[in-house]
Amino acid sequence: MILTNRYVTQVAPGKFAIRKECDDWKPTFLTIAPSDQVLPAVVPATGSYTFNVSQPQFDSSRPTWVILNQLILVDATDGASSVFTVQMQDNGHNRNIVRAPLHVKAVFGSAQTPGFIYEPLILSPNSSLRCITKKISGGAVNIYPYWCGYEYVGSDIERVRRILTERQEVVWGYWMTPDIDTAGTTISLAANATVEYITQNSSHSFQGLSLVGKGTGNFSVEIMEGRTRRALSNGSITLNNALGTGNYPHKFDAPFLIQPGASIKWKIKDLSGSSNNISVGMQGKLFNAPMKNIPQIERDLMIPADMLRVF
Amino acid sequence: MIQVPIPSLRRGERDSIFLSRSRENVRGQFFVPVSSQVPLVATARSGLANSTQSFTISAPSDAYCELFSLSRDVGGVANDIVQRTYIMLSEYANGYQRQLMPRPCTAEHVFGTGQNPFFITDPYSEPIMLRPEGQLSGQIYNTSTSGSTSYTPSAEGRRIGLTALREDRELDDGLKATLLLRKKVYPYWIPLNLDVGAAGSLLGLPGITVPVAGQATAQFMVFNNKPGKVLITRIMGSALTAGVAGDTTNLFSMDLYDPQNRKLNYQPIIFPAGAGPATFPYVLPTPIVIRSNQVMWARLYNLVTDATTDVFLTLQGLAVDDFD
Repeated sequence: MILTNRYVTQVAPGKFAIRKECDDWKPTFLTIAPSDQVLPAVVPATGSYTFNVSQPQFDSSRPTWVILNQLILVDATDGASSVFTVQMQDNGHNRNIVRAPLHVKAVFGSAQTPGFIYEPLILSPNSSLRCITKKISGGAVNIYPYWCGYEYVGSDIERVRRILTERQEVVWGYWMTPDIDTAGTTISLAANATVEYITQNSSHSFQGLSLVGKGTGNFSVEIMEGRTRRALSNGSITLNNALGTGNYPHKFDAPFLIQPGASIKWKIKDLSGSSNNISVGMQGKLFNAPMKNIPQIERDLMIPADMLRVF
Repeated sequence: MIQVPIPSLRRGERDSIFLSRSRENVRGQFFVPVSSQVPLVATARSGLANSTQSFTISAPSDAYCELFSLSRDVGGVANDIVQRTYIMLSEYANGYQRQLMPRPCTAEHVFGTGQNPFFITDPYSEPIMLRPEGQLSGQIYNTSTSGSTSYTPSAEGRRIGLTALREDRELDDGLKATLLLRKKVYPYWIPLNLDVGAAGSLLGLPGITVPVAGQATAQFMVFNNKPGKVLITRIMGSALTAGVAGDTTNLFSMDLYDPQNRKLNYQPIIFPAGAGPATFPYVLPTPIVIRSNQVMWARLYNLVTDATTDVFLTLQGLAVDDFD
């Protein structure tokens, strides 16, 4: 049998069939449970708004697995007032996905160009994702957030459970950020000011794959990994020439590796000449393993092609 | 032995159109209708009569042509005219004639722009394949009463010259397998199939009018009347409303159900979060399979508080003719 493409298989000369796996998965659009909040949700002008995203229990007798890989946000005023931060936690594993709050535009995208997670987020039955939002400036905003992916509806649930649980124990998507201390907003810099943050990596290996950021105005950043003293650049890189957004991140040609326990220095400088609310992060994968084991993990715990459809 | 088809190109591999096998006779090319046909000027609709224009994109007599992307140049006309211009595409290509859509489809869901063409093969579909002297033909319908439209369609693709096939046995074998695949697998658009029927609306053509908001809803079904299956990989949508300034810009939301009647969403999907135009369609994380005689349906909610909303939705993917 020769695979002619992702979904249509040539089974014999002149014979083509749709792969069975297409029937085992269906697209899914997850959002806040309607029992918690009928959309739109409101991010208030002050304080924060926290909500959970869990699997819809259309059929509570049948547990399903959901793989999420698209992040889409629409606000009620066509994006003009989406000035808030977002932080996400995987409740099932009690771990952060976004280290410190990031500007929502650095994480989410639109239907036309969704934001994405390098390592798809796997929601097992009864687990959920917690999302904490907080306005940076301006008034309250109505939002429609969606986590899109695919849900298993086939019969081989045991195979799916085994593969997904093994993988998600070891590797997950992650946004590495400076540890800002302003209780859930951005880095607030005065005109032309400079600030340095030292972030201590956990005992996990981080593979940085792209850079994202957002600011009220332009700013520059320098990033250095403390253990190997490897810098991401030989000077300051600016928002406008090196940082992307959730839907258009600035992807690296090769991963930027951060060793377990290493410190990361972020040196950030305002270039706008005015006060600047800054959000910056490095998107990638976190591995619960030494760096040298990553190739083996990617090989041994690979999600089969029929279960992982990342375009 | 099964011969392997020549891989089709995808958006990220676009450069290789012009480098394909580095042979002079295998190269990238733009394809446009003959000059006497463009621009297609379709006058405004008069009464119940739509203005129609036809065009043909032809392959030369000495090459096979694969069309990977579609784009258009549209005259500076009002959004109402752009959205209410429909197109019907057919192939006269491989010794047979087939339609690439069951009914005319909003042209904005078929053609992209020069900067962002509608890339048929991205993330996955088969390109349109034309044998030597094969034709891609289309009809443009202007259903707007607001004015005329000026339309110039074009396609970009790969041309495989007959000379190259004679010189390269491997390429020749690959093309034979490719033709076999393309004969049964081809791109397909399914627009809404609900005719509203009121005078001045979308009579006889796809489209749906969602009543004034509140909890006003409308439902539509997509029925696959082909003998084969259709894989839906993308959702495209647009809308028109006369809502007052300051009203919501998100216009409508929708519940989607797959052919097994499984709901795809937890809460209604707001329009901009679940659809896009041909330039940036919403790409489904995994395809929806609509088998022969199956239906897929949706419920639409109008979010505009003071006017009806005309919704244009198109499901796009590929058709696999009746071979299991």
